[in-house]
Parts: sequence; structure tokens; C-alpha cells
Amino acid sequence: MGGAAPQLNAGLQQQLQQQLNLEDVRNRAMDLFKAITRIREQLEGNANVKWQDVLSQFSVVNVSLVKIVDDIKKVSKAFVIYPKNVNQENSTKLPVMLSSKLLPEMELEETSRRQQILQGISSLPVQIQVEKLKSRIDAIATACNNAEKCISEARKVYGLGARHNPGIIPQLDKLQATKIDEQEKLLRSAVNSGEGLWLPVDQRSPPTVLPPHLELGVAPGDGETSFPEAIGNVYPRNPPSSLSSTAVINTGAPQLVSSVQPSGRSAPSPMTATGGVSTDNRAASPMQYTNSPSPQQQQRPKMPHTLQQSQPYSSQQLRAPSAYANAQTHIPPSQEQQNQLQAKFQQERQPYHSFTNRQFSSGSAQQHGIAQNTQGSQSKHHLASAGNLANIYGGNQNFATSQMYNVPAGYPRNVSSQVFPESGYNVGASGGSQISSNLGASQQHVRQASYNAFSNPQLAQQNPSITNIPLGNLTQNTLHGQPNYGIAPNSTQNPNYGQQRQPPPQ
Amino acid sequence: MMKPKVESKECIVQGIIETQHVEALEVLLQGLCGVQKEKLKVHELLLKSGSNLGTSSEVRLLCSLEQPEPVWTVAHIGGALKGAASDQVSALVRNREDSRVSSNALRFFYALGYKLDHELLRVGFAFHIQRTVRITVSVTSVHKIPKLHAIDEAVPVTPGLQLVEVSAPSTSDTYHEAVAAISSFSEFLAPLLHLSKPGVTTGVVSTASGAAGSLMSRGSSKGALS
Repeated sequence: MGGAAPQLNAGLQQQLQQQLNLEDVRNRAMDLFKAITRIREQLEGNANVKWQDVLSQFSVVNVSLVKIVDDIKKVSKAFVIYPKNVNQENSTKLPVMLSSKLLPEMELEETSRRQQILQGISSLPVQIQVEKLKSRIDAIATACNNAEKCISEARKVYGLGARHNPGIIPQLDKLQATKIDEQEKLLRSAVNSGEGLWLPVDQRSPPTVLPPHLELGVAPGDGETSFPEAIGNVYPRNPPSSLSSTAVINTGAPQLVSSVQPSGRSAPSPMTATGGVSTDNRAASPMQYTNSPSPQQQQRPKMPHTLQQSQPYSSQQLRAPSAYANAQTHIPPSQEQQNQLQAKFQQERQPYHSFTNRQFSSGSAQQHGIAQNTQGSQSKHHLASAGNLANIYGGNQNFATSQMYNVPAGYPRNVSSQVFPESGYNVGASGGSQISSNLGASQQHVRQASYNAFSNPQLAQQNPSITNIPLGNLTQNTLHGQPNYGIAPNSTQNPNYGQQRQPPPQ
Repeated sequence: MMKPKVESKECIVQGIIETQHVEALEVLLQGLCGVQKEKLKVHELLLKSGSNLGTSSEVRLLCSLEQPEPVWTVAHIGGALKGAASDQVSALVRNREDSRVSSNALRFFYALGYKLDHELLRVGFAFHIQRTVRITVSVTSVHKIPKLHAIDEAVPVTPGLQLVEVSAPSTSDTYHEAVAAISSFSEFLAPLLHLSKPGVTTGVVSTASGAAGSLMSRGSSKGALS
């Protein structure tokens, strides 16, 4: 009997072995192990690995593992695992490894899940429980199937193909692709750096009709030379002169004036066609003639009055000045709009002095609000809108002062330059000290003269001799680069000046 | 104690999309953002102060013409982040300061010595969406203006392509967040277009037609869980 048993065993073993095919299982397990190791290494070593590839590889591995386990399970029921090498080291671990009982955490999880699932129906008989669970499973299964269908449809539409195969992506044909590439470059460069958007020179003229949102925004003359290329040509780097609508480049205007004038030019002043009178009034009172005698000072407040009175008188004088002025440069008639004003500022700069000559010579440019409304307002514009008035005259619209400025025709430039810096002159200058501290006496005396003339409009004659007037500082007229301008006799050059030159009373 | 002014920056990516797919993109953005689109019509003027002495600056005047009253904004778009830091981020990070201005801003800048370099007109729409930062997606057709300020005669630079810009504001410290938000949002748009830093061409996306088709479809599916 003893011999039969081992024989039987051997036979069994043989059969089982064939059935089990343990060698095969071992090989498969080893292959699986190698595959997993390989994938892991790939993942760890390669930064650019695609998840799609790795996942697909893992899924393959997973499938084989599941298969192996299934195969073993089929036959493992018949066997009991008996550890062969139990020693001190693994005696504590083996039971855990061999146990088929779930780990405590897993067990907990399972019980809780079970509770959750059987929540509503645990009281019912088992059969019904089973049925209910089955129906639930079926519902979930159908949901999953439908979702799967949707996803696959979407994949088809998107051209993504099946899960594991990227699918065929339609390629743009080469021609189209290059065309699109060109267009793209065009678009990007246009947006980012403006390439292709630069206007040719012939299109750069200012538009006749502006879109509504730009009406306020663009002065008529702004567009002309508002392009970077124009910088080099004509525009003198005259920072102060950039105050006004600098887009307009005055191609020949003496920049001297502009360089000095502008300080306030850019500030929009309420230069409406108010006529000279209003500003005159404003200016009149604060204006103090430093060297003027008290009677003259008293007469000062009467200036507007006298201005008006002498209107016909001045209009006479103005005719000549206008001729004079016009002979020099063109002066745009209407001053209502600052736009136009600023646009023509450059042009006006030059005529400005002549203009001021005109006005000042008449000594009543302001009064001629009617006769010379434009001119008056122009000068106002020039002076006031620049804001220089504010600066120079300490905030007073000391218009009258400048107007009374008896500027010799020969020194047109000086007018503007002289007018403005004389801050002391206009603003409540208490005495001659201010004036003298300001500028050359040339300006002083001129102003004085004009003032005098102004306050005495009845004195139609000019005082040809400037020599009466202290010209101590004439040589200091460095501001304008025209030394001694004041020395030139006014009468000879400005017959239109109806102002009398009187020596400043002391 | 006065805190130093934190530089305000803009993180931006650009992409292109074929004009035929713009509607689909709009549908997609509508779905993603959930708000109404904002129409855009912006007359953009780039002014440069061309100082021969050295530093020149540029300033953009943006006039939004969509509302009944034009809204003027001045934007200073400055230098971009450069160097190693810029290579790590997928968006362009550049300085940007915006400010509302009055309608005579153009004259003001002319008076300051700025000159018009070029102008363009952008017409399109924009969506805003809050994803940790406020992301703005704008899809516009860029028009060039043939004559000075002649907006009505503007023609598209590329009729077949429109520009898509995704941008978000940030400070110099927090731009990583903004860039990350932009990147993640850009992924949603991946079926229709690719976005990249300005200046980097992307080409069109091959899946665009398919994606556009499905977006424009009236929903043929019978429901996921019937």
C-alpha cells in the first residue's frame, strides 16, 4: 500500500502540475514583473513621457496580471498554502501575508460600504435585497454605457479617435498652411508692432472730416506733421515751443519768439472773442505802472474808460497798424476757437509781435474790440491762452500792459518776449523796483511809454525821443537777443503808435 | 509709511483663429464664462515720442467707440519680463498701466511732443471670467486705417483670420498665478486654437473645424442618461 500512495501522489502531482502549469505561471509572473519595472524606469527617467503611452502600457500589464490571477484562482481552491521556510524573521509576517482576511482598514471600509448599500433594504428578505441591488447595478451599467457612447461619439467628431489610438488628424494641405502662416505673421506683427499700418506720406494729410470721437481731440493742424519721420526736418528742438499744437511745424517761423513765449501757450485760456475790453478791465486795475507817477496810476483805473472813449481815435491808428501787421504776416481773423488758434499759433508767433505792435501802438487794442476784435482776441489768445499771462503777470490778465507796450516795429520779437517775463510789471507792482529788477529797462521804458501813452490817449503825438527815458538797462536786454531794442526811436518805425512817450515820472 | 507702488503688469497670450470659426469660439466662451459678451470697437492709436536724444516712449490711446459716448483710455505698455524667468512662464508678462482720460488726450499728447506712429481699429467682442484672477478673452478683427483717422474706411489686415487675446492683470509678485490661470483657461480653448506669447506663431489648429462643427450643432445627442 505504501508503494501505491507515493505512486498516486506522483501521478497526481504530474496531473496537477500539468494542470497548474506552474512553470508557465512563474514565467508569466516574471514577465509581468519585468514589464512593470521597465515602465517604472521609463517613467522615472524620462521627463517627456506621455501619460497616454504609460497608461496604455500599464493597462496591458494589468490585463495580464488579472489573467494570471484568474488562472491561479481556478485551481488554487484545491490547495492550501503552506509556508515552507518559516523562521524567526518571517514568522510574524507570514500570517499577515497569507491571511485572506481583509486588513482592518479595508474591513472597516467594506462594512461601511455594505451599510451604505443596504441602507434601505436591509430589513427586507434577502431575495428582495438581492433584486434591488441587481436593479441598481443595471441602472448604473446603462448609465455607464451611455456615457461611453457619448464619449466615443465626441471623440469621432473631434477626430481624437479611440482611446488608445490618437486617430487620424486631418492635415491642412501645405498651400493652405503656408497661406495661413503668412497671414498670421501679418496679423501678429500688425498688432504687436504696427507693421503694415504705417501710412504712406500721401495719406498723412489731416483729414477733412473727422470721426465724431476725434472732433474734439484733434486740432486741424495736428495731423500734418504728427509722424515720427517729420521730426528731423523742421521741428526745432525747442521744448517750450512744443507747448502748443506742436504737431504743426512752422517751417520758417523764427523760433526765437516761440521759445520765449510759450510758457502758457498750451494752457487753454478762456480766450473767447470777448474783445479786448474785458481783459483790459481785468488787467487794468491790477496793473501798476511802476514808474508811473501817481497821477498816471490814478488814471490807470480809468483806462477802460478811456479806452472806450478813444475808440475812434484808436481805430484810426489801428488801420495803420493793421496794415503794418498784415504786411508782415497773415493774421487769421477769427479767434473764437482755440483749435484754430493753436493751429495757427506758429503762424501767429511771428505776427504776434507785429500784432502786438499793432495793438500796443494803438495803445488801445483792447478797445478796438469792435474794430479789431480779431486782433485783440488774438493777442489775448497769444498771451492768455499761453498761460504765460498767468505766470508772468502773476495770474492777472494784464493784458492792457502788454497792449500798451510800445514796441518798436523793428523789434517785433522782443515784444512777446518782453511782455511776458515782466511779472513784476503787471502784478501789482508796487514800484519801479520790480520792474527794474525784472528786465532791461528797455522794456521798462517802453512799457512806461506805452503806458503813458495809453493813459493819455489824447496825446496823439508820439514822443520820438526815447532818450528821455532812462535807458540804464537797455543793454541788459539779453533775453531777446536784441540789445537796445528800446533805443530805437519808436516814432520812426511805428508811426502808428499813438502813444506818447513820456519819461517815467519820478 | 508709504508703500512702494506695485508695478501693474499684464500677462497675455495671443492666438489666431479663422474667421469662419469665430462664432463657434463665441459659443464656447459663452459656455465657459457664463456672462454676456462685451462688444468691442476700439480705435487704437500708438503715439511715440521720438526723442533723438535717447529715450523714447510710446503710449497707446484707446478710444472705445462702442458706447454712445466714446471712452478714452491711455495705456502704457512697457517692457516685458525677460530672461530666465520669462522662459519659464507660458505667457508674456509685461508692464501695463491704464488710465481713463478725457477726449482731448490726443491733442494733449501731441502737445507733449508725441507723434502718431500708427493707428488701428479692433472690432470684436470680449468675455471676462474670474478664475483666481480676472481673465479677459477678446476676439477681434484687426483693421488698418487707410487714411488718417478714417475709421469708416478701415479694412481688416487679414480678412480670414482674427486675433484672440487672453490676458489677466497682475503685479510683479503675483504674475505666476495669473499665468497659471491663463494657461489652464487656454486648455479649454485647445480644440479651437492654440495660444502663445505674442510674437510666436502658432498656426491654426487642425481640430478647429471639427470642434467648431460640434459647437455650432444644435445638440443632436439624445441625452446622456435616457
